[in-house]
Amino acid sequence: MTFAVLSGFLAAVVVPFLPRFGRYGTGRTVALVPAALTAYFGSYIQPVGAGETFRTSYAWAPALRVEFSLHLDGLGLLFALLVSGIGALVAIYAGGYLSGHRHLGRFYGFLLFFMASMLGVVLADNMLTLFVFWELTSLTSYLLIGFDHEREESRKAAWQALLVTGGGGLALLAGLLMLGEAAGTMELSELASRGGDVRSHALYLPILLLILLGAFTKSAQFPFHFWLPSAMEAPAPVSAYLHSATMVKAGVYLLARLSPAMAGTDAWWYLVTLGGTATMVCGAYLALCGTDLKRILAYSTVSALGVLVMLLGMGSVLAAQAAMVFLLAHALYKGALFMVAGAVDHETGSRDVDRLGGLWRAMPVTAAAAVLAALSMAGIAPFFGFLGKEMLLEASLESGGRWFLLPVVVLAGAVFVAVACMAGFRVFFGSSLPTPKQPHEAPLSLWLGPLLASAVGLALGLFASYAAAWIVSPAATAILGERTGHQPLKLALWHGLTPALALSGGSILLGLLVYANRGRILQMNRRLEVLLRHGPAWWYDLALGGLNRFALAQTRLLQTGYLRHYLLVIFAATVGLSGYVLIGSVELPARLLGPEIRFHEAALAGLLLLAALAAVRSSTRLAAVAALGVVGYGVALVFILYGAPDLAMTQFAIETLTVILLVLVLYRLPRYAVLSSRWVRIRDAAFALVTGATVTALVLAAVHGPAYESVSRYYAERSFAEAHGRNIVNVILVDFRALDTLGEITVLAVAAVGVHALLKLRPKNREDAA
Amino acid sequence: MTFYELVQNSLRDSLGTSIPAFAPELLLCATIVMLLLGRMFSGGRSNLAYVIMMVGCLAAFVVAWRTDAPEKPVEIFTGMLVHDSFALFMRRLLLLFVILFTSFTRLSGTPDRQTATEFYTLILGATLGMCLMVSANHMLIVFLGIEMASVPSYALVGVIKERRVSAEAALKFAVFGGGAAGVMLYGISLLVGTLGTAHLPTMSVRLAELLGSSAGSEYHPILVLAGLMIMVGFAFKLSAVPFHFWTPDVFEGATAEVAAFLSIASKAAALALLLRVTLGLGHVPSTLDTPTTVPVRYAVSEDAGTATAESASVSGLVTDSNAALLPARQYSAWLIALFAAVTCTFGNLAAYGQDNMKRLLAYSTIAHAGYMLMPVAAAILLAGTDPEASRFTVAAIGFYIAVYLFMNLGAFALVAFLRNELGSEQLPDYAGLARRSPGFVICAAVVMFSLVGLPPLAGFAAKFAIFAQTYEAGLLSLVVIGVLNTLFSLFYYLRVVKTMVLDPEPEGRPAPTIRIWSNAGFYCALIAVLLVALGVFWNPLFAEAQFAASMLLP
Repeated sequence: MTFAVLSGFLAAVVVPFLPRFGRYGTGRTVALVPAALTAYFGSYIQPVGAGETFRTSYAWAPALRVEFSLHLDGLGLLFALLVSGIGALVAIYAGGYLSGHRHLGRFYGFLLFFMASMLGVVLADNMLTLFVFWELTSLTSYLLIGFDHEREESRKAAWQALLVTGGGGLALLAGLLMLGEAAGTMELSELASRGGDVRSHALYLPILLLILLGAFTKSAQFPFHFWLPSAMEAPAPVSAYLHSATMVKAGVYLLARLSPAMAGTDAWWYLVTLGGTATMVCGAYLALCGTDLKRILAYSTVSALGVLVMLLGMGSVLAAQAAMVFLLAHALYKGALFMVAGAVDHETGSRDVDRLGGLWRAMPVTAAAAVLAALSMAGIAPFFGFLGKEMLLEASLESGGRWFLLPVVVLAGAVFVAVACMAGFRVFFGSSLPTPKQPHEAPLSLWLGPLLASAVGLALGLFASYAAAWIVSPAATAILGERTGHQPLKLALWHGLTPALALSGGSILLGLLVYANRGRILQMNRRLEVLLRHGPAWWYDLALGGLNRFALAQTRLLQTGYLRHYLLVIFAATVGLSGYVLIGSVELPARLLGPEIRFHEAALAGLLLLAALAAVRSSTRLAAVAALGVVGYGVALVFILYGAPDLAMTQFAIETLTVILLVLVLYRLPRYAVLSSRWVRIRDAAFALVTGATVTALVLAAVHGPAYESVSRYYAERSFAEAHGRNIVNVILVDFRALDTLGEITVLAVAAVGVHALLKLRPKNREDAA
Repeated sequence: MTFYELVQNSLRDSLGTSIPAFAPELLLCATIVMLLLGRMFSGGRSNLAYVIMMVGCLAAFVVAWRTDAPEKPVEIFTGMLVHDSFALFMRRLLLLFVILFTSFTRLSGTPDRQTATEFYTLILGATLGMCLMVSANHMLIVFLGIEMASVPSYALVGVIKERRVSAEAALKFAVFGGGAAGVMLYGISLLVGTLGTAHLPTMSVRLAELLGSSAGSEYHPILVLAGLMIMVGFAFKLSAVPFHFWTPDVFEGATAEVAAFLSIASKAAALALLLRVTLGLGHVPSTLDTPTTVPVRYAVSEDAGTATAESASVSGLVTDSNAALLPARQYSAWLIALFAAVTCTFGNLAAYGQDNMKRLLAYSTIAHAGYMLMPVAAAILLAGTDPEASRFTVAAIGFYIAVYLFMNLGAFALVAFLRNELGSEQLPDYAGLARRSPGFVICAAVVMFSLVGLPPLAGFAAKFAIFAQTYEAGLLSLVVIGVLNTLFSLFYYLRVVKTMVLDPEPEGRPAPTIRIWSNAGFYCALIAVLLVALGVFWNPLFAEAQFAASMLLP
């Protein structure tokens, strides 16, 4: 099984070089890979139908509970068959559609890469394995949508799809991690039995929201549905494969997979069912209003995905079975219709349903495939689509109290009928219309895929009981987890006269009515367009643009390139952080002001303040430096007053040196120029005062002194007793830490030699230059 | 103790334990000397500097590789440094980086022969400082290491003397660095002064006593402020917001090579040091090997008169002490989490509109610093409740650092190689490169995807590991911020790929081709392959990181 999944990646590496060996036949050669995989997974139908499951795993990062593990059960098998089977058809189709394209090899590489990733998604057991493959499908989808990268729209669509699905994927990762934590396992196959823990977990709602975000973005659910129609910029094989049959169903797959553990709560019901319903309605409406064949199909796909999500949200046994039947039926007919749309586009040069007609004379086989698929979509017996629709109606009938679902479902069914009429009949029948290219029958490779897919749809309908027993039932079992077994799935074309049948007939009639009145709907839509302009796509653009503008503004505000602005922000942050601590914790010492302050202390303080003011107010650099020097000397005087003459000596020396250096440097600079405005100066002054206040508070906070004795007492006690010296500093320097002093002297000597050498070198260089 | 005994003891300590453990650093020192001597003889006309540099670093790396980790942490040089598996792991990583970096500078042709000696000497000096940082066990070494790493960096930025931008960047860098170092030193002196020692394990013991005692609350403000000021120094080194301002300007002004060095080695060492200090102060070791030189004696307050002599029997108090340290852990975790969230968000948003690749990567560096700070907060919180999980978090950080090393080196190598071909570091000039150098662009895409953290690349594995551990510590909001930021970062990293792959080639641009079989192309391919390989088989490296973390929190 591992090899089956990974073989696609291997093939993807080899395939790009195939066209070099011959112009023709690449498509058919490549199709062998998915065909072989279909056969391989086909061989599992028997044992999986009998209730067996298969699992393989490899240690990946065991410390983090990450395994590379695969698991095959009914649900996985259904998807795996879809992915590989339709993959084979699409591979043949792409050979015809893109024949002679100079990057055909690359295209096949991406396609197989996608197929392998998608197989990984549906077969993964470890959640992280699933996520890895999930993101890979987003990535390959990006590459495939942007395949015609010469076109601006295609680049934009690819970008949009990647951001929406990739972003959703990250939410999914967070959700899966939390889910793994809540359930105590990262394996999906073990999750089913931990449902109770998950549902009662404190973080159930955030987990659900994050996972739904991932699933809804991937499966183009409202309000994230907008990326899917844009993604129709991709070549037709990609639309047929990724954006109708497989990738967009990954979200549905995930919901189905997590149903046993997470479904059954109110939150699940409302979020999933209502999300699905909203998508269904929205997609149906937009599908009706389109004229571009691919766009119509894309919106009807959105609507169908909504149906699937809604069914999974309902959570009943019947709904789960209905979801699987509908999913299979939809994948077959919608894939076929997309391929037909591509073939029509390829042969006539147009995709506008209003400008095409009577094509059956020129393209009889394509027309046949289209009609078969459209009948299935419209839900006409004996096609598989009929069964899907009937089960859907039954499931909504059964939902009882939530009555509002039923009319919505009937309406959506009607829209499917109308769309089927547009895609399957309008284009091919009626009077011929002139097209950009003279239409003629598509080559074998272009009609084989759709014809086969819709034929399978018919066959599954005719032999519904087998399909039910071997494929749909095991899949539904996997969704339902423990709750299954009571209601074995029976699929038959004739159930007798049930309400569902009546509703089904009604929806067909309604659909025809809608189709007949399409002109009016389009007119009405034009009036509504003003309202619809502010749809999710508009919000997406707004959010993206807003984020961009915000990011730029933030950067321009903070990253000005001026050192003084940087310093301002740094001071503000420091003051903010430490001020938060200092406020309330610092008490002013009681004797800050009082009679015991002596005159010379007050005078010194006044001198310091005056000097500081002078430094700020002076108009020349030299004066400012001099004033700063006064401040420094004043501090040294403070040291003397409080009994630290050695410290004062150091301070004097350093202060003198600094002033001299500053004077030397600043002497050459021009006079001050007042560059800042009055307000800026006030702001700076305020910041300076606040910073100064903070530092003062800091000093006051530090008055407690050390909690532990430092080494000073040690030296104080021993300097006379052991080293016979009364000046402790001297004793430390020449006795206790004599070796350090020696080292320091050495370093200084070396540095002096270096300075001397540099000074000596200079004149010589000048001579060289001269 | 007589003078003779003193010399004997210090010789035994140095030659027996300290010097062998310190051998890689000594080799680096020797290489510096050799470089300077080599310059005297070659006069800057041959590749001698490069050869000496390469040989020296390789020798140091091999020695570090062959050095076995001790059974348990060993304090060397009288407790100044600690020799344990974490220090060893980080030093190996740093030395490996220097080797890769040296070959990268050789391929990109910067520095030229004239400046090679100075350039490599400065690099080695900074590396030496970083090696000290990762094995620091004493606040003195903490400060010394940071300064030893920083000062050569200032000079490196301005190493191209003719460029005014470089000079401006170097000056800004030095001013910022000096300020941050000053603040940090003030913080360190406050803390050390309060606790009466600078030896990290002893500090943690005393801190626990102080916080556990009734007088502890009086010292809260001062401890909090000291912590804040020390954090300023770290924030500067890690370019955490708001102490990040130097990063974009400096990266833009410096050559891509120097920027690579600053963004990788410097960050890695600073992060390791931050872990050492925060975990060291937030956890009382159960065994103290070296008895403290000054007897533990503490005064409740000045009013209470002389100290109640009370020498703590350390081992019995450990559990209590660790409980007493809870506020310290919570405070530092809170502070770091705050920095992480702000840094990450700012970095990612600021990277948006950047057209200059080095600026873009600078902001990306800032953002990654934010990601890396998140698990640090988690590790600190877990240290009190579940040391095993805390060690595991440190392992995740170690793994992230290792992966980050390759990713960012790849990114800067791309910029440098393209600069040589195109004469430009602007993103729009990269448009349509995929037509001419497809192999090279694939490598670029791998690096960028890995920086986003997309699977199945190494960046994903690393990000997953740290996010999982952050979540483990209960910092859900941090994880959410991290994930959101990853989403933001998708835009600008992929914009680079999009420009190279999808955008049409500008007209009139010289047609650059970097063949994948050229040396430069091969170098990038090597890194790309490594990133894929580490993304698929991450267990060996992760196991190594786990071993590295196993000796922390003794």
